[in-house]
Amino acid sequence: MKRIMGMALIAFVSEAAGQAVPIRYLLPSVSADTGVNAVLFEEDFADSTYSNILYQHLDRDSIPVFYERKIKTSVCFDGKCRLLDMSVYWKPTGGYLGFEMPQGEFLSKTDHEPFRAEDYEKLHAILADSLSPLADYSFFELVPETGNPDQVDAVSSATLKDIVDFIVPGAAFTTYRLWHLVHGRTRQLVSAHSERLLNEKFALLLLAKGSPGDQIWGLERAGNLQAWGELFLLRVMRLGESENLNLAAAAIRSFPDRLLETGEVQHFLVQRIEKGGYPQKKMALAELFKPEKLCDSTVAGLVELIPEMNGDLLADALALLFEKKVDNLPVIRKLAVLLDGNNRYNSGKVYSFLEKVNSSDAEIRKKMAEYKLRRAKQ
Amino acid sequence: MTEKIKRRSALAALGSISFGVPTILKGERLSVPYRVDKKTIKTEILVIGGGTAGVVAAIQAGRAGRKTVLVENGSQLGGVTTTGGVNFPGIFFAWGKQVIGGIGWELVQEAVAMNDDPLPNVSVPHGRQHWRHQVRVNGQLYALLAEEKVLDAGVEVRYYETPVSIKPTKNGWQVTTIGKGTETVIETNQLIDCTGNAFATAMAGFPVLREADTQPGTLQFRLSGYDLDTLDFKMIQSRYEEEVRKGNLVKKEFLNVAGLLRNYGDNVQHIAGADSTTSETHTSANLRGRASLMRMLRFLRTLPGLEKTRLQDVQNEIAVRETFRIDGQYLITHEDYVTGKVYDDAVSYSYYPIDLHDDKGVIPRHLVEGVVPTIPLRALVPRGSRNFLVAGRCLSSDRLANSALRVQASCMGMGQAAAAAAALACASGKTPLEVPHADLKNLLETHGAIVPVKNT
Repeated sequence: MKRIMGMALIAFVSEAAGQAVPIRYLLPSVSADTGVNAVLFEEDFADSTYSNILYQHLDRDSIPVFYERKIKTSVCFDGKCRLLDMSVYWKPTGGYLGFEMPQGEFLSKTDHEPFRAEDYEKLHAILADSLSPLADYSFFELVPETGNPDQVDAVSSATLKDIVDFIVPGAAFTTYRLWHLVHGRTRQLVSAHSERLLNEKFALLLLAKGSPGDQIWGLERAGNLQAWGELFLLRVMRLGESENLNLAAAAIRSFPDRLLETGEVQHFLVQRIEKGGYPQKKMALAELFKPEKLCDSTVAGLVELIPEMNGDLLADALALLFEKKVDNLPVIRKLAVLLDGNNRYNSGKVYSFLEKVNSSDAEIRKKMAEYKLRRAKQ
Repeated sequence: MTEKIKRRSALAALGSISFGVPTILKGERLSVPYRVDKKTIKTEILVIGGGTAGVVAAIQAGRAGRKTVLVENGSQLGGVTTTGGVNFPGIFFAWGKQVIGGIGWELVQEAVAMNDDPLPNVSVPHGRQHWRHQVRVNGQLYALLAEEKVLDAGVEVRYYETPVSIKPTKNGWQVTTIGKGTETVIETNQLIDCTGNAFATAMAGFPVLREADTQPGTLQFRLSGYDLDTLDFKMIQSRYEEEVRKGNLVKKEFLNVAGLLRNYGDNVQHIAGADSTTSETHTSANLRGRASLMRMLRFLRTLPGLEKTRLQDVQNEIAVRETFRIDGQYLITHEDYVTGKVYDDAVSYSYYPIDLHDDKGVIPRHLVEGVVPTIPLRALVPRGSRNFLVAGRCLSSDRLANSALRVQASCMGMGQAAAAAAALACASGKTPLEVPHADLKNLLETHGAIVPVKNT
């Protein structure tokens, strides 16, 4: 079994090319472990290569460490063909990991000139870009255009001129073919195979060592795990505090229903409402709608924060308390004090909430009557 | 039919013997002669223009607890985002972080969620493809959400009205609007011009600026009925050039026919000098945009593979990029923009490449990594004015800076900042520029907005 994980950018000498050519390029990986077992899947990749085997490389704990396809195909255009013989690797989450040429093989350009080191580096960077504009182009649109103002697109979108920056010079079709192979159906197949093997250990590895994309992949599926250990829960909470909004959102939204009922997770969400940025506050508040019941400490925490809230957040918080049927008198009285505030929007929202709660408490009724009188005079 | 003829005969007979007294048939009621409904209303903040910036401004003003009126000359809110059909109001993120949030982002996020649309993965830099971070929204849904939130904020919405006079008063402004059967005098403490064209600013007597050549407008439409993979683009381009040479098509209107087809018509047309400032200029721009679309549609349907091209959708109005700008207390220059200058009174970020559309197309010039331009409150205040703000593309800026500042997310940020400043000014009896920046920052942040911070 080859040890290929955890290495990045290693140069080898290609005898066929007669020059130092880096023939193996890998992105950093989540696991430094080596695959000890390979499982073969016969797949329909929906691409025109001759390969239909996907290799799943697993570690000792049956956690996927990488996936591999051995590609042998021709890239043809205008009647000229070149052989493509290489291995392509995917991360367990479906993202691009790297490629490797068999010993003695090398990539070449339209004029049969071998790839140079900078060409391989560019190819590696292009393949790592899942949002490349190559996604939006058909094979036959890849005729490089330069300098002709008539070709400048009138829209704020990719132009043929832009595409030139996203292909290896002299190897447009090889680049295009490989990019679509890397980001085509194989991605989904890899992701689906890994999802079937997802357990807490695998998920924890992704959360601890993965890229934000890997972490989000793990968080989006964490709800399906049978159980969350304390370490896993802490890791998710830590990610929920991330400044990366996508990552924080995935973490805040990842708690399964059974955990949302607990005081520990509800406390974390209240903390996010208190200390997080505005988007995190909104997301955490939205999560608190999911449990059947709010813990008393959660309600107490929220009621402390409500006077500092404005606009949409205030409306959401009051809607939450109403939906969860929070009607204990001290809490409602505390909210009724907000009727005296000088922001008519905020006090109006509080009044609407109190109307719906319909408390018979004399103190609250008095405050509501006073508020109504004040509004009528305005 | 027989009944109708009988009725007409009866009316004719009656008419010959009546003296101006209408005959009332069964089921009809006599209505009193129509009179224009004249009234005077008082408010604290008046927002003129319910477009991209105006919606956010009105919601912010209402949520800040101020009595607010929103005047819109059309029938729905959202402006360029909705009526104009430019339903990708980015960009809210820069260099992996959110830079524009608040009410604009709230609207966008809810529209996305209610339509099950995807949000872009903004943790991946967009490189030279800034549109990777654009967020697509359902324009009609956005208009409905905007209206719902404006009403929830307690704002009085006045559709189909436009100002005809704006005069200063001791404590603010007196604005007269006319609409369908209405003539309304609105007395306000603070006025926010969100027309995008500095229309209210000019009417109030403050100077406005305009380039000799403005950026073209675009009528948004959507084509369908063809398969891109089967098209012969070389032939199509050649036939297109031929029609341009013959004078049947106008090159500047569609610079790249392949791009038009690839984008299915989305954001590809250029109508020179499109200006939405007045009824006449707006009518002209709409007519030219529609005629241009019809010429192109007829041409496309003559081409092999495109015979069944259909017009899937077309917006009611052309979207306009550039008209007038105010002469503000501060003018944001191109240099300010590309260096990401942070002002002491910065109230909002803006993030977009310099994006000047002209008759050769557009090649965006991207900002250097890490740069996020900012907007000072002074750029939203016409020089010499009191209790008067603008928000939107007509802010005080030079042409190149404006080509980037004009985009919708930036306009949303400006709308929220202008309204927050107006609300605090109202509450404290000051003018917006006299409001302490710390108070403004605090109010904006508690409403979710992101206020630039100066690195010390």
